[in-house]
Amino acid sequence: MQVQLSDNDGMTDMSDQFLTFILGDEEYGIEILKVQEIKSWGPCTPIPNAPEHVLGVINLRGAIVPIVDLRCRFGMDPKEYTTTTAIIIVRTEHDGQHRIVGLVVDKVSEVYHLGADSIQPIEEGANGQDKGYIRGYGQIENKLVVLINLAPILSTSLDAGAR
Amino acid sequence: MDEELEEFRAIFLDECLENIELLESGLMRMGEGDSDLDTVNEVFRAAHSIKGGASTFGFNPMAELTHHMETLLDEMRAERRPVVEEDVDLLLNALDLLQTILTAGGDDDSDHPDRASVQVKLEKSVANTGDISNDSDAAATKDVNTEVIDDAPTAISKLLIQFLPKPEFYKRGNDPLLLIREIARISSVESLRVSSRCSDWAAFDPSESFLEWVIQVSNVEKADILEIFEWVDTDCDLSVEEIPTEALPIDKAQAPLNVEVSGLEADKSKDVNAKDANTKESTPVTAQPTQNDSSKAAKKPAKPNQETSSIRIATDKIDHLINLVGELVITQSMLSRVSDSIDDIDRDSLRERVTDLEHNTRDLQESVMQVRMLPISSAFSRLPRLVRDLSKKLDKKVDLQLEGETTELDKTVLERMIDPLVHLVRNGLDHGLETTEERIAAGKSEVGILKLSARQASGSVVIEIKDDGKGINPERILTLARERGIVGEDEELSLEQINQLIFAPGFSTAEEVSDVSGRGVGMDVVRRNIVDLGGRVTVHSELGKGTLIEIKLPLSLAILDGQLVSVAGETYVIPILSIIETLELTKTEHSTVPERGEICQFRGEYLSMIRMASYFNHSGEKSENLVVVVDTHGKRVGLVVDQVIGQQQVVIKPLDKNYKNVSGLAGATIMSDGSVALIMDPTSIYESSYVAEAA
Repeated sequence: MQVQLSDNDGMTDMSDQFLTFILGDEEYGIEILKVQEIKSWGPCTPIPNAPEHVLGVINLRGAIVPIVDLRCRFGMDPKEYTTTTAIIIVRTEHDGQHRIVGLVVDKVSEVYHLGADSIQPIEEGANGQDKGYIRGYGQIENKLVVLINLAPILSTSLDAGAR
Repeated sequence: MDEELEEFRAIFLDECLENIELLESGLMRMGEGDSDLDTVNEVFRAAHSIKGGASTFGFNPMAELTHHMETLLDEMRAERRPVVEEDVDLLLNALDLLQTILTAGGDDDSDHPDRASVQVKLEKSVANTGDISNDSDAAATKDVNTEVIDDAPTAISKLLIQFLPKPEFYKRGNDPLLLIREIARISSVESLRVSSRCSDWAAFDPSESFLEWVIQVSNVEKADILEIFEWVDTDCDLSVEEIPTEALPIDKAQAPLNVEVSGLEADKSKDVNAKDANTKESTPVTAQPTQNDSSKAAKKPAKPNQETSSIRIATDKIDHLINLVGELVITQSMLSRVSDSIDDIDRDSLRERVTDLEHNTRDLQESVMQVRMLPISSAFSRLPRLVRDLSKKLDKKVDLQLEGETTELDKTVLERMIDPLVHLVRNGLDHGLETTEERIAAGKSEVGILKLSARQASGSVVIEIKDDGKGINPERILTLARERGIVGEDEELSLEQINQLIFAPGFSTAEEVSDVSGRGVGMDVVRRNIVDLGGRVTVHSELGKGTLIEIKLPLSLAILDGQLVSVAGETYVIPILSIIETLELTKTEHSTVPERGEICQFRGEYLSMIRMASYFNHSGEKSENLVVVVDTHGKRVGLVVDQVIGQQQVVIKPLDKNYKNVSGLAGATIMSDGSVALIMDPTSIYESSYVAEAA
């Protein structure tokens, strides 16, 4: 399974589109503009002394890309990787530099349009442990999607234990 | 517009550096007595280009300074004064100043207080010879415009221009017609004649140049004609001679008067003549200038060829290209693995194509890598000057010998090697070679030999710096190192370890600190630079006979010769250049020592061992069979791994592009099956391990 998300076709504004994925029982969403591509799960090379949620690095057409297990990052119990396990390759900015990181999720779900009015921003201090990871909740039909902020989630992965 | 100007300025500054290099090497040759006209001309042209560019971009101090240099050089060029050492020294001084101003940014704000005095000296020197040669234009030399001197005798009314473009002239897109039209515009053309030097039309080579123009003009200054040819004068044989009014050299019957130069027609009309007429026919003029010309042309090839055509490319473009080709190579090797596993009738033909592709990709990769390679001569070329200045200062006689200057190295490696090389040469001169008296007393020739050589050896470049001086006295080194607390009182060192001490921080053996070298800050930087490049430096010395410093460098920073090893099921790459030997752990005497951890015996030395599986915190199953002995900044350490798998050239990819640097690793690489392997960095492993802390 290799889905290449084409760039904007120029007709629609993609900034309100979100790619959602499943982790455990929850559905999470990230801005689609940050997503470069989706890959099926494959083995990666472990990096010595890396944080537990950094599984290692893979070769993405010549680029060395770190793989972050989101389950582990979110403190969930590990789950065996299956055929639906996917790596979402995202582009993020860290210290003013563009970086490419792969996120391991249980399953890729849908692409939704979410206007500003259907996003319920998270209340300040509502949940002390979020540290800005959560951007808000999206209301889609009768379900709730957790919209996450990539930068804070990944920056701790990229910083921890740096020389 | 401004941005554009900025860009041109940047190009100009770049070119300036090149011209300064040309100036320096030319002046050095002149200083060595090789002052033939070609060299002087080359130096003159370089100074002239700097002057032109500097005034265009408003770098007035530079323009003025180069102008004064040019004036002096022009005197030499016109053979109105001999090339003497004092003048060369003066010019070299001015050149240094120029370089200082240039590094400071070049523009009007960056001037140098010494500039005025240097200019006065140059002026004085110019004025001096004017008197000696009894030339009446001693006063004229003070004139700002050098060209005026050239045509001091303006009485001449007629000029004979002989113009024979070389093939390069056309290759650079020049058109002779434009030049001739320009001549016709500024002068009255009395006659023009075109002839061909091609005698055998069956053997006509269209890429060669055969046409020669002989033009007789009047009412023009020689300098103006020369100016027209200014930018092409290396690409043609040109002579502009003044001719006495009466002796018209060209047969009037043959030469059409006042030709309206219309290129092809003129060519054609003369081609007919040229057919039966040989080269001889084309030189009906007073034979002298032509002979001069050809003898000059014959001399040219002996000079180092500085005309190899080149193109300026930003290095990141090249690096991108190299990366892409790297990918291609990997994709290609994956493809051939797949083709091997296909079971089909078409398999053979597929395989054949894939093999072809493999050859092509490999060739492509090689030639792309070549783009980044530069001959080491660009680093060597600044040494003669250094040695010349230093030997004068130290009053030692030195014969500097350079060998293998065409050996090629990656641009980055080369640039980062310049300082270490300069320092090592300095050191060799200052500490290695003895004074003339000492040499005579030791029964040696009074001229010391300092020899630099470079060569390629199996995927790496070896640079040797060898002197026939007094050599290193191991006892003195050891005593000093103990005094300075670099080596413990009862620590025993092998000869090799003692020699390596000259690279230790804070170590200097110069009995008396000179301003040449000897503050002990340089040599450790030299070794660090070399090690950072992935290279190694070793010292061999014989007391009283001399010292040999050998530097081994990787050919390129992007590609590494790697030894693949396995550690707890993971594949790692160790740079081969840093590996000394691989031992079997069971056959090696090893034990655990308090405060030093595990040590093993290797060639009579005790080495600390680092078990890589635990260093990297890998929990996989491990066998720990082998000890790979590596060299890190002169310290040796044994890395315990499970197995060696094979050797392979790998492309180094940085880890911190998308992740971050990891202690103990130099980067990652992609193996032929598409998986990622990590590259060990022995220096960082050693420094970050408990072993270093304990030592």
